[in-house]
Amino acid sequence: MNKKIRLKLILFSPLILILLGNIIFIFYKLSNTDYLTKTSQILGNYFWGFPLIPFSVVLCVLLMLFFTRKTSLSIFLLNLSIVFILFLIAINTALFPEIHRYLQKFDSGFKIKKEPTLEKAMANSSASLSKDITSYLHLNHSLNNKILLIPSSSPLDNDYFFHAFVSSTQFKKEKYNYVLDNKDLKKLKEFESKKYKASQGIRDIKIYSLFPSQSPNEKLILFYHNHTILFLPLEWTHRLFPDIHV
Amino acid sequence: MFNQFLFLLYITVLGTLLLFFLKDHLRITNFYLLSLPAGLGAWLFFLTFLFLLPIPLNRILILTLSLILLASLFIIQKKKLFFSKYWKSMGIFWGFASLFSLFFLKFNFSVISNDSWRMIIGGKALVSSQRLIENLISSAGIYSYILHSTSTLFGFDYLYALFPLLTLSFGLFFLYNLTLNLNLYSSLPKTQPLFSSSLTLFLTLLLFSSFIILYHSIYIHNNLLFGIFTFIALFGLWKRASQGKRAWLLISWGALLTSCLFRIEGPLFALIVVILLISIRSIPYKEKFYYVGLLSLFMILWHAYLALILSGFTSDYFLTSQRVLLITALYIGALILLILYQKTLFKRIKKFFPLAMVYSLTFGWSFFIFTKGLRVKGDILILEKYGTLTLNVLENGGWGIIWIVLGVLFFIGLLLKRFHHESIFIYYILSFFLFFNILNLYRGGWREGWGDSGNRMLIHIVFIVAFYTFFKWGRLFLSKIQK
Repeated sequence: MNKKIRLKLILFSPLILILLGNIIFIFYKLSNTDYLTKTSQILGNYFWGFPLIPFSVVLCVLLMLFFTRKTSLSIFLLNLSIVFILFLIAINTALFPEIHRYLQKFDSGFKIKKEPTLEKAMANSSASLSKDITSYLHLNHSLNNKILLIPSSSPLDNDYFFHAFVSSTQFKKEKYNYVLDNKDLKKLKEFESKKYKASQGIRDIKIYSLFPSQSPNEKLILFYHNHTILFLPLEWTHRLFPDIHV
Repeated sequence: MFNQFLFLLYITVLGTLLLFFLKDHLRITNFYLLSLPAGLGAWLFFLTFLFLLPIPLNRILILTLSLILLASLFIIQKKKLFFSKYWKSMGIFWGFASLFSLFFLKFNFSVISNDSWRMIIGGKALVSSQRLIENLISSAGIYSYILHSTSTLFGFDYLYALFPLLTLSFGLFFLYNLTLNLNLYSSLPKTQPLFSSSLTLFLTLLLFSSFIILYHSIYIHNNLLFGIFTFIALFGLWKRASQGKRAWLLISWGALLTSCLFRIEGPLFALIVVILLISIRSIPYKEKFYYVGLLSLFMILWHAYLALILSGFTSDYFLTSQRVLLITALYIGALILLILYQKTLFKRIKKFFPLAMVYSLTFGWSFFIFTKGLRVKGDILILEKYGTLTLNVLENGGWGIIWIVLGVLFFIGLLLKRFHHESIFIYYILSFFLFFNILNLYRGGWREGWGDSGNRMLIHIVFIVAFYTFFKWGRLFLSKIQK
């Protein structure tokens, strides 16, 4: 055996063995879960399913490159790549509705005259939201921006979120003129104190995400123009705004 | 929209003028394609510096200082600029940059998540509070917020057009350099450049038309930005090592510094590049000294400053004062390595540093998974993160078949004929995944879906893996073409 190859074997074999050992250990530990079953199902699908088609096309083109010697192939490849990419985009739009929706918005883009705002970004992303979360965005719009729903990951963020919004060019506090009366505030406080311990109440808030992969059963924060920031369970929003149909 | 357009044009022009210092050392296409990333990096550095000064920032002041910065660059290079043959091409480039900026401004396809909110609002909060807020700096890299503070300073709502514009610029950079280097390294006759161009166009479009890359190009976050700057840093290092182009080392340094400040774990991944640089024989000590020395100095000073801010602050986020001190200590270690560099013993062993780094990370990973995995309580939840990651890579993470194809081609490609300093890519990719697996054990609960933090982190490495794989296989197929 070549001296160089022998040296590489000596240097790298222990590394490969340790890495394989780690992977086997992880597989062993996960053997009682459904991760292995899911993984093998997915791999099985890839070999027999739809994604095989683009993969096969790629393979055929690479094989053609390997065996051919003609320079005219380059023109053919150029055309093929354009066709293939259109094909991929078509597949992507079929498989991933979000991209399809955004491409649909391309048509409506010509009609957009207003300057895009943060609300626009929220509305854009609402296409991929679950029904519950979308409904709260509609709630926000239906109240003519009287209340802005702001997700926050920690109560410690409140101060600077508040200040940030007040100083923002778009979100002036005068826009928000809806006030909860004392009865509503009392109900909220009672709810908060019963469900959560006083010291832990706000720390039980989970992260609210705008993406469907997150569960929508999280708390939202309502921002009032009187600078009071309260944490509101989702189900309470219906009770506070019975006239709003969401 | 107009204000955001002005900002995008400003950073493009800024980048062009900065790179003008290196124009004699760069191909003209690279000179233009790197303008936007260079301008962005310079702008973020400049704005961060202003935030650290004890002067109240407002829009008028920032705009004035920005114009002074631009004017200074013009004045310094006025002789070269006025007599330059580049004016026509610069005009055409800026014209195209403006057109694309307007397009991405007009059609707002941006998506935001909770993290995006935090970055946008955090950026505004930086301006309103005029200080570095502890919550912000302990949850993400400072550049993530500084970038979005631009919106308040320049007077627009939020920065959404930068991401698709930067993706386009980077995609062209990727395509151009893949083609260029395939032509340089293959035995393809110069009369057939169209052949390699077709192949690289095909491969680049294959990658950049994927769902995940398209989505990241409209997603307001820092993952794609980190991936782009990390690629430029590693690519620049490789260009310097393999082709002797010194200007690329400077570009690599700038890109690495920028990437460090986008993510909390950025400085740790940057250390991989530092170790690789130290081990490369073809780069003289003086260049290594400046590269590592300046980077370490910046990181030490920056993290010492962060430690001061975070001392006494109880953080629920990633960056605590203890971790800041750890990062500072690691960069002091990098400086010590640099000092020991000239010692005879060091000279003999430095070529083994990348291997030692990989072994250390492997042992570290083994130690953590066995100690965490053997614990009775909670062990399976920790290791389940790997299960979630696997499912994300294969199906739920939006990658399609990218990792299956790249993974297979990468491992088989290791057996193909090697190119100059190929080990830079191999060691970086291996070290990245090892360190990523270690981080996996310490981050919060992971979930299935593209939005999962770990899944998004794979975008940091995909361009490097793709470039290496396409390059290896492209060389093989092009070498089959006869004259």
